[in-house]
Amino acid sequence: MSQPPPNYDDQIVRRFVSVTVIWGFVGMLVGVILALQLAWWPANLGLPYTSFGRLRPLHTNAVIFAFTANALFAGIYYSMQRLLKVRMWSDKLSAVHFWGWQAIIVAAAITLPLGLTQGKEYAELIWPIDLAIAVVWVAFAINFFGTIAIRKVAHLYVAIWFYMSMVITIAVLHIVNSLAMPATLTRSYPVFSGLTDALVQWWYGHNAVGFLLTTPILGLMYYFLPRAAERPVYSYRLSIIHFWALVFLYLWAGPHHLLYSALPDWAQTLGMVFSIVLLAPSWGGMLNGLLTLRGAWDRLRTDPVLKFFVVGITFYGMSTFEGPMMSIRSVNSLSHYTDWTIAHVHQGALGWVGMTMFGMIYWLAPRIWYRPLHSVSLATTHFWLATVGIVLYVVAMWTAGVTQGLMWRGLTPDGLLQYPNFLDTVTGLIPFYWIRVIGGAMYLVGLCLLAYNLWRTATAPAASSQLEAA
Amino acid sequence: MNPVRDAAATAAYGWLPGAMTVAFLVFFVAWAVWAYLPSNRARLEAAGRLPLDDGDET
Amino acid sequence: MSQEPWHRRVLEHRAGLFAVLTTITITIGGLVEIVPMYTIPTDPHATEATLYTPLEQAGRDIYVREGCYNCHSQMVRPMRAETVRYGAWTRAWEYQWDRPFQLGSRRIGPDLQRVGGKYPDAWHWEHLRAPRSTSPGSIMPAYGWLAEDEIDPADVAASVRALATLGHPYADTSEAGVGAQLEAQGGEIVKRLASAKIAASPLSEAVALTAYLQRLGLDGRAALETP
Repeated sequence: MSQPPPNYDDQIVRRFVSVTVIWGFVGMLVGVILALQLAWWPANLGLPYTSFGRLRPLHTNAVIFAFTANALFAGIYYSMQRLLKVRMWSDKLSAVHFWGWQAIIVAAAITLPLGLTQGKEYAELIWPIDLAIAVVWVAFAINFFGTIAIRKVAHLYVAIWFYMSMVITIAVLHIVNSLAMPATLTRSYPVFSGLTDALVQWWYGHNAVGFLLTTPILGLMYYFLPRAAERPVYSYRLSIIHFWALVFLYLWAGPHHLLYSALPDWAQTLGMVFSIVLLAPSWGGMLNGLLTLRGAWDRLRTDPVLKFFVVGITFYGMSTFEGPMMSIRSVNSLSHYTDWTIAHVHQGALGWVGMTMFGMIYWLAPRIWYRPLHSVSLATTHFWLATVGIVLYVVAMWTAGVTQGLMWRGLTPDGLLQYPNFLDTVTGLIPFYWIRVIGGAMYLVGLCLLAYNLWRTATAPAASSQLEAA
Repeated sequence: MNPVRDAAATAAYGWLPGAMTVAFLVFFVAWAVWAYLPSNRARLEAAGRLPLDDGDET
Repeated sequence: MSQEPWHRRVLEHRAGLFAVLTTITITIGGLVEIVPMYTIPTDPHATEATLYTPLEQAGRDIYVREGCYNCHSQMVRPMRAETVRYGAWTRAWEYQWDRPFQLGSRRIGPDLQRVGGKYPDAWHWEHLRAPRSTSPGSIMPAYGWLAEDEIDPADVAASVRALATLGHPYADTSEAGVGAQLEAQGGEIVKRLASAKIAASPLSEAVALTAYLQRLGLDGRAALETP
């Protein structure tokens, strides 16, 4: 790959790609340890810092805010400069964003095992770190809008719309959900209490999924898929319709996390209805992605980048079908509180987010280190390890979830519980938990192959400018 | 689920769901029609090719 | 367009308008769902929800610290299979002093909404120390450190003061007053543990956590049992 003109800042992209892989390893390693702890409790080690309840927030926060967010930032910094035909508005702010975000991640990795938490899922970080997140996010937002302001292309490509929805929505969600009264430097109490706190939290939690793990990644898909497939998106007009529909509908769906709770019925029904309607724009996006590959399917056999994208988008379609189904009250009555939910989120996280980000990173590597990818066959091996790993994981958790859900609700003809001892509904799941350990470990090994491949690519002898693109 | 709460909620917001559904549907249809207007076709298709517009050069 | 100052371009070109439209679009859903929560009339039974004592609140903070919500829910759903297993389904007012809420999202262990009074204090002590001694086959981690570590009255008083600022009507938020309440309620639990031949300090974290668990779901039992 030839060196680009110095107008674009590729160093910031290289940095974000590198930390994506490092934090991805940490987050997924902790995930495998947690899976092991559920299969074999002595893996909790008897220490406070390594017990399941403290490590699980570390896993979720690392995968969402360290792995995914850093990958998003890498893709956004790369694509937005090229779509707007201008360097980032301020390199200083880019650096503040990068180092600030990494400092926040390190702070999270220290505080969570120490038990310093706000106790709200995916919003566990204590209030001083929340403040730091707000500051760093604002630095990113200023740079983002500043770059848009100095752009040299009049039309904002739809990918930028998706990025912008993330920048704005995450700021709103984070600030509202983090409103709290500090008691000490490390402890605070939310200004909302009880069910209102729960509603605000799941408005946040559901839309953090929406606006960190879905819309910006769709934005990246709308840039990197056409680049990798070397053809424009199937229907640009569909993409802009799907944007507004998705962004509008997503924010209503939070209460589906609180079905059958004491939340007022109208709120539960709104959450359910909007979740089901959400299927339409989600599948609009999925089909738009898959159809972009029309005429390029033959390249799927040789190009690991497209392989990753196709599986990623397919998992997006699956989990956005499953999500609305799980929001239907009668289905939710079975799936809620079981491993079915865990299967669902991992289809999204490992399947959609992980695979799409891996595809993007393999496509980016030769273009940001200006030399061919070290090994295409290693990338293909990564692809197969990850795919088989996800399938093992998801099938095991589906089975465990449905099994446990049915055992919980099993009643004898006399109206008594069929499994009155809760533990009977736990010990039966252990074999599935072992399958999950294996699936998760395969996914982690795949990530290690990516790390090795990138390391070799980045440290290969500097390529001459004639080297062809990978 | 709770009669007191739900009665209060219905009384206060009963007109809202219908009005909002209509308003949002009108917005959506208008937006979809705009996107598919023949006069916008060429411009939007050109916009769809932006990523392929040799991204590595200014 | 590059001759204009950047702020004018943000404001005058469509990107600014676009950002405003996006903000409005994402705000509607949240406003419609969250704001009405503040207009709902108070449930007539709400007065039955009693404030957490300082010891119970300290125990709740330990519950949050250890991430118990990752495996235990606090929400009994209105279904036959749930009410038979756990007890009366949960009403909204039961949560009114909960900051943060702890409804949970996964039951790796059983729901705890109605665990209060279900087992003796000594059972909780043993279960936290060695879960498999009371519940064979359990996959819960052992929480040995809770018996050794102690809560700090000054720290608990700071929590009580923050909660008082948020409207929790605590009568005495002084360190001495809070400390006396901790010792008194902890002392009761210590006595019950002693009768089971367990030696504990009234300020030990396991005692505080027990105080919290033993009061879960006890408020307004009469109101709960009527449909």
